[in-house]
Amino acid sequence: MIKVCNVTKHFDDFEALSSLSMHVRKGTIYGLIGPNGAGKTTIINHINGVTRPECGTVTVNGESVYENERVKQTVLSIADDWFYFAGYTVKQMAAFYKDIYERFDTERYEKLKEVFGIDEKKQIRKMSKGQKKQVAFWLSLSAMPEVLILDEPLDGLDPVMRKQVLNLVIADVADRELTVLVSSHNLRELEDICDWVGIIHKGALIAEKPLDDLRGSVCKYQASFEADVEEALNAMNGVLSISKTGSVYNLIVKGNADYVHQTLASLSPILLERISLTLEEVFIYELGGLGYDFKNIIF
Amino acid sequence: MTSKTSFFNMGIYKSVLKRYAWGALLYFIILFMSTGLSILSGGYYHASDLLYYRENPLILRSSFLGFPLVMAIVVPTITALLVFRFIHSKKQVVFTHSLPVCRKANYISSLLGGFTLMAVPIVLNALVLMLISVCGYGLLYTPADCVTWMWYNLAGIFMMYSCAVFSAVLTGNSFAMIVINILVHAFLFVSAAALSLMAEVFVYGIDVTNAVIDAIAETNFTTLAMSMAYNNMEDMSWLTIAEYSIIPLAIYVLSYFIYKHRRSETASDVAGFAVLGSVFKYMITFLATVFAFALFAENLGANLTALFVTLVIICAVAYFGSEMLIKKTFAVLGSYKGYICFALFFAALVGVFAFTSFFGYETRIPDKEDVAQASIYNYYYREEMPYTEDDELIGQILSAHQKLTDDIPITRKHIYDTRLHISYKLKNGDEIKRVYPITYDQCGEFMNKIYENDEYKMKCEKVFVDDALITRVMLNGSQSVENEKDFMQALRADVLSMSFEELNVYPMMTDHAHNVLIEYKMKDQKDSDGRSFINGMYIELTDKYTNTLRWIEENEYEIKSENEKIYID
Repeated sequence: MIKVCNVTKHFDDFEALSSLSMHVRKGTIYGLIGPNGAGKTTIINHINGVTRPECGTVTVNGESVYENERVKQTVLSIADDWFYFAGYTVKQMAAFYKDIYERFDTERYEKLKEVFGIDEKKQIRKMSKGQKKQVAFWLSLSAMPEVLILDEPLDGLDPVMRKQVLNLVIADVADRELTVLVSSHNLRELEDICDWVGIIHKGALIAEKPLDDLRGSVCKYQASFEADVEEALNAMNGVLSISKTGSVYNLIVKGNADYVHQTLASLSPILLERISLTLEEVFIYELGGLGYDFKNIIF
Repeated sequence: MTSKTSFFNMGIYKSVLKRYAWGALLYFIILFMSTGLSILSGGYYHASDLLYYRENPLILRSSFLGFPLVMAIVVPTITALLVFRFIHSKKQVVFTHSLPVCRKANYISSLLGGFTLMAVPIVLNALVLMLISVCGYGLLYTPADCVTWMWYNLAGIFMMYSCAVFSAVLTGNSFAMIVINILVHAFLFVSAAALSLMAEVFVYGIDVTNAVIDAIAETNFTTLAMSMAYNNMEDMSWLTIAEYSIIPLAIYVLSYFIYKHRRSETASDVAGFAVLGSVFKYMITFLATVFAFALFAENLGANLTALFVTLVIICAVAYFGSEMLIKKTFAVLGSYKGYICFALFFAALVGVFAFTSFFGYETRIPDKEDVAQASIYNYYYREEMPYTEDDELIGQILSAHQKLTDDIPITRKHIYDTRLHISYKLKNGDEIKRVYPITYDQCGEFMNKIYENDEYKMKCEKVFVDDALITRVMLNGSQSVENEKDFMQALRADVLSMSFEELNVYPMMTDHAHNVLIEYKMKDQKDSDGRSFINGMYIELTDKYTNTLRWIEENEYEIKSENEKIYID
């Protein structure tokens, strides 16, 4: 559905995107994660058709997005700081969306009015941040996009409304194969909804996998030994980090987990346990391997 | 795969109209108050003026067309600022360009939206004016005049809006847009004026009232709008009108291409394109430096160290100040290389002005045999150049010119009383014009000798104006002289017998018994309403005006009492 091939972008001397490639499949929810300044918003602006790639291509359904009205009719985005015209009410903004988006569904708009329960005659600027976000979802989902791009989508929403909004999005994915690209720092939330995850760092995509595969690619072992095995542990391949709490070793392992398991088992452990990692932990260890400093955050 | 793009998007157009309808309403009200309401409440209807109104319709006179056309300069700038804000605000630039509207349609729809917002109030006001005309005010102007009024205003906003839009697409910052808009309109003119100011200080004898500034001034739309207001376009040829229609169209097209190629991430930056940052910086630096330096240099005179230090400081303030504005930071000292280059360039410019004879300009005095006519006069009498072909007088003028250029100062002397104009018409058709700031004593020294020539004096002194042009002679501000011819005869006899210094008592602080004001029509000069200019000459009658004073006494005009004596500074 969305294909980004070798896109590069510079801001003066700074390379914001470095030959970045990614692929978002139709009907999936793709979580784009990365540290601040990694290039998430920059690539989103390329997919939105706001920014022209310096080199490489950005296509949706096989067509270039930039300056392509037909493709952009199917792509809608909700930025963290969603824009609306000053002084406009929800109703006026909806009229604008209706004028712009050919597939705007008034019936759906009316139905969603019940869901959100916001007065459509109220000026948007007088609403809270959470209410503005709800209006953004309300109008965007009414425009019946094929691709929905969300940048920090749930920021400012209360837990009930978060659930409500996510359910609406997931329902659209299920019902009409809506493709969703989500960029967020809240990895816990992404974990619940994403099918695919891409990790971006310093303008390049360092990992792009289905969420389950990504989780499986890095795992954590807890083990305890009678003998001194520190040298043997350090010599093992694929171990990202080793820490020791009391007599228990914590090992973060990437790659061939079976080889690690067998090696640890051969050292006659008193305790050997494999623990699945959360997306947050995967993110931290993936980037930790690239020199991203998490120590101050974790410990 | 190529995409289909449209030229116009109704959604964008409608949103522009909806969002800024308040501005159009405000514009309509202001126009109505300055035209329709003003007519209804102004009491313009005077029987004696009816014929005059027929020839000069009220709403096409400068007093009525001037204000709306000034609005036609201001309003397009504000409109472009609001309508094209979508390329200046970071949030809006992302929103607008993520919409399924290509840049071409976005630009055209926004452009037309802005134009509609300005055009509708003008058209509505024209209709209101028509209504007023047919409802009893038809003698002041006709409905056809309303159509002309409308076209003038529409033409005004059409031209000015093109420059405002051009400025808007060049920058990513709304405040910078206003500055750039001013630069677009005025850079050439202001540069010429600034350089003239500098030349006046450094180039001895330069006549800054030159045609170059006038010609440059006429090339910008602001001047055109004002000339529309004050000349009613009577002198404008169809070719000129065509030119002024095509130029804005070309600017609109150029603006589109600039917008099409600008990067959306430059929103909020002063320069929409990297190269423009440097262009703006050097334009602003140049203007600021020339003006400031010309002002300071005159006071510093020949003190070279002070001039140098001033140059270094002013260049630094102008250059780094511009850099701070453009980069939005105080940390600009890193770009010192540009400063050094600019300071060197400016020092070279000052050097050419100050320490050379400006390519022989300052020292040029024509040979006597090349001169066909010559003129020398004090600026108080500058109206028509009093040229002479008298050989002896030309020799005297050349001699005075030689004396003035014997010692050429580095900068113009800060203190001077008056200016002496010397002009030559050469036999080969060339003209030489020089203006020298001098003291009253110096002026008297040169002019007393020249004034020994009665023929030349008669050309210089305004009392020798054609009797037919004199409209009124007033004595002591209150008494109208009845036998003007006799009075003027006596006055002219006195003037012929007096020297230049006797005729020009400086400073004009006198306790003379009488003064006279002579009003006369200016030849071939009419105001914007088609009436001849009336000029006035004021003369303090000193004791030297013996014939005139005797005439006043013999004709029994009131002698002023001591406490009514006039003091003029």
